[in-house]
Order: sequence, then C-alpha cells, then structure tokens
Amino acid sequence: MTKRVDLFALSALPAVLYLLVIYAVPLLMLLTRSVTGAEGLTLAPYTAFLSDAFNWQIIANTLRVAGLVTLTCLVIGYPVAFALSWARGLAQAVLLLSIILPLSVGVVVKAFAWQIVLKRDGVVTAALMATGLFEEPPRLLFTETGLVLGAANVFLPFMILPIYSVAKLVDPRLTEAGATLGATPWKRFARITWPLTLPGVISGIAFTFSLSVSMYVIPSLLIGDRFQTLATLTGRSFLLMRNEALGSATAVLLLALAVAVVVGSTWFARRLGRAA
Amino acid sequence: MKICVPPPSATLPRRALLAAGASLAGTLAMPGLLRAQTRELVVGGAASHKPWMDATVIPFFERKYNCRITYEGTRSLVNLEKMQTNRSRPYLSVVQMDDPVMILAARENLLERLTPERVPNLNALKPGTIHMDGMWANYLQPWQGIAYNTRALPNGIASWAELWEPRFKGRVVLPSLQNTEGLANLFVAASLETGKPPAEAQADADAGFRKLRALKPNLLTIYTQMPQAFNLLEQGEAWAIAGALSSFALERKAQGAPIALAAPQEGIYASPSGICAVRGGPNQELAMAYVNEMLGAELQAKLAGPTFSLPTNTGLPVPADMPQVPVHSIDWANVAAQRNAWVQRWDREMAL
Amino acid sequence: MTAFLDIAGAEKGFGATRVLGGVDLAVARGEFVSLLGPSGCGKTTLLRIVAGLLRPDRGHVRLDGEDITRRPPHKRDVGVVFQSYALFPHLNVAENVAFGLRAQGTGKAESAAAVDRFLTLVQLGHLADRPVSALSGGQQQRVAVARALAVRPKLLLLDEPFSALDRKLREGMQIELRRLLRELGTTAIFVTHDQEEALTMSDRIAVMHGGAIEHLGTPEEVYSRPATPFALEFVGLSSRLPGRVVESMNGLLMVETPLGRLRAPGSFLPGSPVLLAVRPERIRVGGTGEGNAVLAPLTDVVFQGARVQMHFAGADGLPLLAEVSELPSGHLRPGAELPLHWAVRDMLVYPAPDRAAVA
Repeated sequence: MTKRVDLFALSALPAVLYLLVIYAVPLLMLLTRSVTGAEGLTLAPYTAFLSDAFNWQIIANTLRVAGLVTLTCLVIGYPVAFALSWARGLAQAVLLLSIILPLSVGVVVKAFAWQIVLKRDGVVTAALMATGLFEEPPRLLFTETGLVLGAANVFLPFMILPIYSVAKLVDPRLTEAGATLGATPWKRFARITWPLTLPGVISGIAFTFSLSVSMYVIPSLLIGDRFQTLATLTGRSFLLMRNEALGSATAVLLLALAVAVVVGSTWFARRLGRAA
Repeated sequence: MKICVPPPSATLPRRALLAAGASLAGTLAMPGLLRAQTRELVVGGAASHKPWMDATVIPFFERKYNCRITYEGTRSLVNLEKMQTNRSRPYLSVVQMDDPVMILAARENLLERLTPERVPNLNALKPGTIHMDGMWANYLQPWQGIAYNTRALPNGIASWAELWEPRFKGRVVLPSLQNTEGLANLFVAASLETGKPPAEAQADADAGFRKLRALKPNLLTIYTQMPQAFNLLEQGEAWAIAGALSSFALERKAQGAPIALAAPQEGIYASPSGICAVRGGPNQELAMAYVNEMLGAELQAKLAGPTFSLPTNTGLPVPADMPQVPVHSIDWANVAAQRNAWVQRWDREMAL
Repeated sequence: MTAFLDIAGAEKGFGATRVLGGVDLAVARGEFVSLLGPSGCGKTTLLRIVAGLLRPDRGHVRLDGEDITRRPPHKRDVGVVFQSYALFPHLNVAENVAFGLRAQGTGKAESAAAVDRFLTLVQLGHLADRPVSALSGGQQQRVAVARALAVRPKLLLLDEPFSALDRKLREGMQIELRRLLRELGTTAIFVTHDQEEALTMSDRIAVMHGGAIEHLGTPEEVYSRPATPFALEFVGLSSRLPGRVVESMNGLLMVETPLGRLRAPGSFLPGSPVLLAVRPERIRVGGTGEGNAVLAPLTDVVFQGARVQMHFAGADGLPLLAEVSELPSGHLRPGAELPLHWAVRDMLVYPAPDRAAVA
C-alpha cells in the first residue's frame, strides 16, 4: 500500500516541479518586489496605491465588471447548460461544438466581430431601434455594457461547461418526483434543481470571475483606454510607467481578490455539500 | 544558422571585417559560444513595420551581408521591457522604436553609442535626427495628421479645431497617451486652448488637458491598438482619428481603404522613428552595419515611399507629395520627464 | 357507479411508434390495481399519463369526478413511487418526506408531525436524520413510499418499486405495503412485470400487451381463465396445443390435436383452428379419470419443494407440463409412458392466433 502511495506521489512530481518553476517562483518574486523598497521591507506601494481615491475607483471598476460578466454568464449559461444536458445525439454534438469551438477563436478576432455587431449601423442597434424605445441609436461600443457583453461572450463556455458537467448527472426523475409531490415548477427549480447544480454553478462562477477580474486584452479592445482595471493598470505600470513596485502591488491585489473569490466559493460549496 | 564572412564586395568597414575574423577565431576556440557568435541579427521593432521589413529591409541586408535577420515585431514599450529584462545577456542586437521610449532606454543605459566611425551615415543625416550624443538616430520621419473616413467626411478636415464641433459626437478616436502617437494631441489641444504657437504650447500641459476634456462628448474611444482604431474608421463607426501616423494611415489608404489623412492648416507633427544598437548585444559590428544601412540613402529611398514618411538622409529630396503646412516636432526630453504624471492624469481626466 | 379513477381511450405515440392505443380503465376508490406486462407494453406510459408526466395524444383521465387530463402534475393529488425511488440526494430522510408538505405550504410543526407519523408507519423513525445515500435499498424504498403518502394523495402510483430489491426482502415489503395502503384506504395503481407480485398484491390485474389491456380481472380470473393467449402465457405456466374443431355441440367442442381428439368447453364453428391450453396443476398423472386423457412419455422431473414439475413429450414434440404435490408410484425414469388426464372444464380454448402475428 505505501509503495502505491509513493508511486502516486512520484507521478505528481513533474507537475509539482513545473508549477513551482513556472508559477510559484515568479509569484514569490512578484510578491517580494511589491514589498521591497529602497530601505528594505515596506508596505509603501500598497499604502500609496490604496490612499488614492482614483485607485479605489479602479478596484470598483474591476470588481463591478467581473461581477456583471459573471452574472451575465450565469443567467445566459445556466439554461444553456441544461439544454446541453437534455440534448441527445446530433443536437448535443452541435450544441457542444458551438460552445467549445469559439474557444479556439482568438479574443482579438472576437473583439473585431463585436465591433461589427455593436456599431451604430450594426444589427444590434438596428434591433434596438426597431423596438421604438430609443430616439437615437444607443452607443454600445466602448461602453461598460459593451465590455460586459463582449467579455461574457468570451467567458461563457467557462460557465456553461462546469454547470453542464453537474446538470447531466441530475436525475430528471427528481423534478418529476417534486411535481408529483405538489411542487410548482418554480419550487422544483428552487428546491431541487438549483441546490443540486449549485456545485457546478459555484465552480462556473469561480472560473468566470477569476478570468474576468484579470482580463487584460478584452477591456483594452472593447472599451479602450478610458476604463482602467487592476489588470490594465498592472500592465501599464510595468510596461509604460516602469514602476515595478506599483505594478507588483496591483498584481498582488488582483491575485488576492481572485484567490479570495475562488477560495470563498469552494468553501461555500463544501459547506453546502456537508449540509446536503 | 551559418558562420559567414562577408564577401569582399560588401561595404562593411574594415574594422568590422577584422572583428568578424577575430570572432570567427574565437568561435573555433570556444565551441560553446558557437550560437552567440553566429551571424544572425535579432532586430526588435513595431509589429506594424513587419510588411516592409520583410519585403524590403531584410532581403536587402541579408543579401548584402550574407547573414540572417530575425525581426521581432511588437510595441515599443515591450521592446524596452525585453532589453531591460535581458540586460546582462541581450539577445536583441538592434531595436527600432519611438523616440520617447529611446529616451527611457538611454537613461537605463541599455544603448550602445553610435559613432561616425562605426556608422558613417550619421554624417549624412538631417539636423536634429541624432539624439543624446549618438545614443540613437532617426531613420525615417512619419508625420501625424487627422485620418478621416472619406465617405463620412467627403470634404475632409481643414483644422484640428473641427474635432470639437458637435457634429463629431461619438465619432472621434484618439490614441492613448501611452502610445507614442498619442502625445501630439495634447500639444495640439494646448495650442488651440492657449492660442500660442505649437512649440511654445508644449510647455502648457494643463491647457492641453483642459481642452482635451472638452473633447470627451465627441470621443468614440481611446485606443492602444492602432489596427483596431483604423478598423473602426474604415467601417465608418469612427469618422476621425486625430494624431494618425502617415506610415499607417497612408498605407491603409493605398490599399484601398476609404480613408484619407488630412494635414490641418495649423500644421502636422513629425513622429520620428528611431534606431539604436543594444548595449552588449550579439554581433555588434554587424549590428552597426545594419544601423548604417538604415540611415543610408539607398535603403531610405526604398522605404520613404512604402512607409509614407520623410527620409532623414540629406542625400534624398523631400517627397513632392508632402503637404504644404508647417511641420512641428515634439520636445521628447520634456515628454520623457512628464510622461508618467501625464499618463496618470490622462487616466483620471479622460476616464468614462 | 362512477369510477374513482376513469381512464378513457388513452392513446400515446412517440414519433411513429404507437405506445398506447386507446386504453380504458376504471378503478374504484380504495382499490389496488396492477398493470402487468412485459417491458414495452405501455404500462409505464399509462402510469405517467395518470401522473401528468405525459400528456395523452387522445383520451381522458378523470379522478374523483374531475377531468385532470390537461392538469399539470403538481395540481393532481397523484403520488408516485418511482422505480429508482428518486429520493432527493441533498436532503435527509425527514426532509425528503417533508418535501411535498413544505412545497404545498404546510406549516413546519404540522409537517414535522406528519413526517413522524409516516416514518413510523414505514418503520424508519430512527433514521430521520440520516442522509438518504446512507440507507439500504429497502430503506430507500420505504422513504419513497412515506414521501409519496405524506401528502395524502388521492391516488398512489407505484412504478415497479420492488424491482431493485432481492427476493426475500421483496416478499416482505409487498405484504407490508399492501397492509399499509389498506389501512390508509389509499387507491393505488401498481406497475409490474412480475406476475407473482401482481397476483399476490392486487385487487385486480390489468394484463397489458402492445399498448392495450388484454385482460382485466381479479387475480383468480386472470389466472384461471385468461382472456387471451398472451395473458395465458404471461401469467402462470401452461401446456399449449394447436388444434381444429371437428364437432361443436351445446357449448362442447371436439378438437383434433396432435395428441388425438380432445374435448373442450366453448362454441366454435367446426373447422375453426383453435389453440388449446391446460394449467399444469390441472393435469393428473397416473390412475384413471373423467375428461381428456392422453398417454405421454416422461422426459424430466423437477423437484421444487412443495410441488413437483413433470415434463412430458407430447406428439410432434409438443411439451406437456404437469405439476403435482406428490409423485405417483411406479416407474418414473425418463421414457416411461404415463397416462395423463384432466377435466374438460379445465381446458382453455382460444381462436388460433394469427399466423403472421405469431411469426
């Protein structure tokens, strides 16, 4: 038995080494940089950053957009995940392909596509105008709405697939049982389907949120320079301002936020798992 | 990768030839250094330059010097980052980037000084194109005007001030201040706000920001990726890109895009393209030969047309189709000193 | 009398396949009716139509005087015990049983009392706080029953609830469930493919085949006088012989068969092809008696505890089966020719099945 365990441990060694060299070491260097000043250890980059109200705005931007992207993905992705788990044969293959295939299309290409779709004489605007609710074509490009929609489009598969993987395991008899016990469709969803798919929802949220809280290329393409997030600020601190302390500090802050969300959602999922 | 000795017909300076011989001997003595000593030049530059690098410069130089050139096209700031991180063991030999970034690189002591002995063409350059005592030189001068969509604006744009008119609501695109081409707008705005001549107005960034803030209702977006901005312009979503580079805008126009580049009456801004040798970079002598060729009349004659830029070598005439308006240049030393503060201010004041 | 549950002309097809073809079934209040048939006979489809989980293409379902054909399942007051039990894995035993009550808005205290009562009824009171995944199959089945009954449905539907249990446990549970339903006065429809289960538990059995009910009757009726060859074959054992009517008089037939001429009750025109059958326990082995008699060689003797099966080879390779409680004396080695006889009234007669249908 112990021999087997050793073998298992050994088989994980390449991955451990790889992560250590590629991930842990640079991360540690980053962290070190963010707390190293001219006179040794310092928290100055953090205090300087956090004492500026504009930077709180940036943190708020980052969290708000990531939150809205995640919410949009959840609202759109949840039913799709179910459609996927109900579909059979060709329909399922087509659906699955149409969800996974866009992952192979680069973000830049997608951003250009969004530009065509969302522009003032594009199809979305035409549709919105046709509703008669707007006096003049609403601007969608380079607005926060456009950014949220575009980013949600890119990250949608990361919400759908974890939910799908859980949804396909949920026995459809359970909701039927709920119905025969007198539960309305809404109660069936709230008391059976939702709690059973919650682990998938939570990992979908963790994926989507950590991707969208740290996205860099998408905001630079979809909303441009006028909307700063922690990620774009980090990139600019290193590349343009040559301010490594600031860049490291914002990067560490970003990482802390992402990790907090992922760890928090895992904890939540575990607690739910125990409760069930 | 092969070790090659330049043919006798090549115009490589004698010293370079000797050095090449010496390095060859060194290679034989220390096989471990074989790779470092092979005649391959890695040149860093702008991604948008790749077409003419591949079509003109690389074949020209490779044939003449019997060696290989690898061109890494990216953004100026990324090039700087590459030089900085590989400071102790540089792999780039030559870098072509914008002047303000050159200033940063020179300050960080990343550049090898160019001298007339090693780069004879320095002597043939227009005044004001050799910087910081030979840290870098300008091989071309693209210029900045206002690119516009010819379908939306068939009558063109006559003045920078037009961009502030209400009809441009949500139709104007500006480069980010973190892009090199983004700075001209600040000075245009300062000049319009204060009424001072452009050279003088460059000192008054406050006025520039004040005027730019007034442009916000007309902004569609502020770009960091130039191709995206031109895509918007060509689709007609944007009507004008202020501070557009001739090297990019006229290239797109020549390819049939429905755009043109206006040279407003107040003048255009020269946006020089710099070239430098990397301090301690591999194949120094070959690198110097490359810089020399880029500054030479023969190659510049080939490039001025396709890049829609002014040559810097005095051996060449000013192109006949240059607009007849004043050409302003930017005080890059001032820019380098203020830029971080300006960028931070830009983020705050131009934010959505 | 109007039936408590009245299914009229229920039809259902999936694509080109017709699963249910115009089924009529009336169930009285408090009755326990089994739908018995092989898989694919339409019994589960009929059950799902009654539960509201499927909508019939045609026909009506009436329950307690109300037409519920188009009523969604949660408004029907029809409980279901699923074959897989379909217990909610995220809830414990008590929460599972309380689910329906809570969903229908019953108060906390009231539903807790009901949960207590029904868990006690199924003898699971001590497991209320367990997660359902920690229960055995039999215990899960009881939770499913308690959960379905706790909302006091007008009608309880059970879809093969014992199929996952081993035989011994199953027999105990059958009796227990029957007693529980009788105590509560619950009307129930029970789907099964197990004829013994149906015979043991039901007030009436509907033998289903090809989307139709072939025989509806008490267990005794279904066993002793099955209405169709299929019902005969599906319920219990029998020996079957093809034959042709040669004489028909006063409800008595003379049929020419490979075993010779046999007498049977019934009225068919002479010359009609018929199928004859006799239940194994109706055949007496050895001795003499009234009615039909043949002489057949013994091929096998199978001892089954209380009963003994004796296999004989009839003419043309047709097997004959007799079931006796006690072996007759004499030579019983294979090949021994023994006289068999049975009463004329024990002979079952059917019109010969269509050749094409048989093939």
